[in-house]
Amino acid sequence: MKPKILLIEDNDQNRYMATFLLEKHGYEIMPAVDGPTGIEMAARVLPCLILLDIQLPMMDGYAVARELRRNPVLDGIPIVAVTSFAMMGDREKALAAGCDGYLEKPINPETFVADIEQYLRPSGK
Amino acid sequence: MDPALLPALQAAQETSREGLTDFAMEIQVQAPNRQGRWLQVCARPRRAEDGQVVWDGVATDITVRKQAEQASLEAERRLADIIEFLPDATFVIDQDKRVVAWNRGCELMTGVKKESILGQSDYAYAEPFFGERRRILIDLLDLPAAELEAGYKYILRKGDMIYAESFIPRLNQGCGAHLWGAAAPLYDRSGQRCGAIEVIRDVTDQMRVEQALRESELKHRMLFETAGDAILLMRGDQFIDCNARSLSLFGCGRERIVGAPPYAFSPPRQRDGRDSTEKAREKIQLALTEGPQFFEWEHCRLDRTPFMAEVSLNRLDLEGETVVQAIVRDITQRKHSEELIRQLNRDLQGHAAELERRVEERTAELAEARNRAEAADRLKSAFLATMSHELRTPLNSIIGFTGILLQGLAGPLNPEQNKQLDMVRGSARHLLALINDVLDISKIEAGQLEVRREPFDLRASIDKVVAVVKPLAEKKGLTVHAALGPEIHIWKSDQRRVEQILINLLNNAIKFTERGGIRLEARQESDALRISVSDTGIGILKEDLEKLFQPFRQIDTGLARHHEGTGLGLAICRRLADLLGGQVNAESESGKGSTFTLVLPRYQE
Repeated sequence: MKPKILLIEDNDQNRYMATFLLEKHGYEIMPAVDGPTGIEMAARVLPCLILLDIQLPMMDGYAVARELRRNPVLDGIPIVAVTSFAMMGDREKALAAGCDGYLEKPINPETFVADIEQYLRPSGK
Repeated sequence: MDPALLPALQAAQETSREGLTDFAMEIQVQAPNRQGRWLQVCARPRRAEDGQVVWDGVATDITVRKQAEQASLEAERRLADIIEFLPDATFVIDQDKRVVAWNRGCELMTGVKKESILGQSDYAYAEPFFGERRRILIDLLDLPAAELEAGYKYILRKGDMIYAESFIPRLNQGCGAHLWGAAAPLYDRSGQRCGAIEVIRDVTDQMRVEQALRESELKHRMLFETAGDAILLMRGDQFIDCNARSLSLFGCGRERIVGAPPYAFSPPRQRDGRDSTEKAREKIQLALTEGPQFFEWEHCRLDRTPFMAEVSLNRLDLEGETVVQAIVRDITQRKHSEELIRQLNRDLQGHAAELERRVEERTAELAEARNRAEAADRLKSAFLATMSHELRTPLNSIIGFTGILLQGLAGPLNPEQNKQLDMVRGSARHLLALINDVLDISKIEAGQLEVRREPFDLRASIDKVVAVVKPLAEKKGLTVHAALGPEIHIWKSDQRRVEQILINLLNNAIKFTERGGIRLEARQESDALRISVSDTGIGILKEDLEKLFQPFRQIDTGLARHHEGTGLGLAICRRLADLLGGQVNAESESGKGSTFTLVLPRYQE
């Protein structure tokens, strides 16, 4: 069974690109277009990793991360923030909200998958 | 008869006999009643028949006449004695202008002894005084002589006496003497003129004292008259004297002031509402009993024009008489000046208050402006954050899909497609760099870029940045060599920013170098870290060195088109170095390459 990655991303093109890249590398992508949907799916699917966009409509990525971390069932699932917020303190805010990693957009397609995989738990795949 | 007279008698008798001349003689005889008698004997000799000479004559008793003559002589001697002891120089002349008396006073005054002058005539008495024989005061008794009188300082006839004053230079051992003289004619018992007397007094000392006194008085009078303040004397409450200034002050003549009371030159009431007459009397009384009084007083001139005065009242005791001296100073001008100063002060206070109000207003405006500026600044930051995000999102697609395509993940590409997509990716990356740099410099200039001060492995950082730029250098056939001192290890600063600076410097070096290599040197000095990046590139003219660090100022090398960049790199480097407490400097020799040096201070724990 392919490892599942939950992708919470509202931008269609970004979601498509990440999906394309990760599927090419043998992952199954569970896409969610907003925070509440993502949170619901995470509990149901229990992915091996969650890719979380920060700038989301209604509920931003920090709030989503905090909500995910509140659920003990999801404890241990790495969350990697992917954001084009490149202002001072973004990384810290993401980590403080419960994320394990932080990638800046635009992503580098050559290194993107490798960057993500370093957050995967050895047991995950 | 007095036996002593006998020889004379015999001699006279013999003479008469010899020459048969008349015999005349006054003879004192002792009469039986013991009273001496004087006989005048006159006899004519004739030769008798016997040849004897006999005298026929008469003896007259002249005792009474002789006694009268004696008394007169006595009186004259007594008079001479009296004259002698008169304290003033006194001399007497007879009708023939012979000196008959010359007293001690005359001797002292002139130095001429009486022995040498008594009996002399022909104006001999003038010589001791004037050095020549001439007519003097005593001679004026007999004749009016205008030209002689003109020689005296002062001359006065009173009855048959004459008084005069003169200055005689040769007296007093040549120092001169002021003489006061009086001459009077002398008459005998029958009322016949028999001579004259002159009494002379040396008044030189007296004159000097009087002169000094006059001068002193004049001086004080002048002080009084020319004083700038009105000075008046009051007896009771009436003015008895005043100086010239009083006249101009009160605007009237002396006759209007003397005899008038001070309240005649005052309005009915003073400014405190008190009756002028009553208050003036009270002040005068206080000056007499309590001592000097100083006060302000409203006076007025004769024409009732009021003026403010400062008055001082002093009690003066003048030769047993008590008067009050009033010194009145017109202070209208001073009062006016004071009022002016008060007005100026009020104005000044008004201006100060106005100024304060304006400052407050302006401060409020500035605070408002600052608030607006701060709001605008926050807006700008928000705008930048949004822009950054909004620009990156499409770039994410462009870079991402280009990368996917170039990796062949979406299917194989022919060489031309590969080449063109590579160009798209290059442009996209450049655009991204531009966005990042603009964002950075905006944050720095808005003061929003915070830097850390944390220890990090500097050696690892340098290795990392060298590794990052190495592929680019190798593409151009350039070497990159890092020479790190053995002391380079842990450093305390902002790792990310130090790396950003070094990458910028290395990229620049590579960009502007066509042949040769890049050398990075790191040395730690006593209290600073020095990392220099040298290249063998085109170099920079001295005058262009500073322009390098200004935003968007890529030096026009004529090669500009080859050297793509944001134009912000060095500006960012310098500002970041500033934020880290250090600096970035450039040295270069055109054509031989450049060296950029980052100097960072050591932070104390």
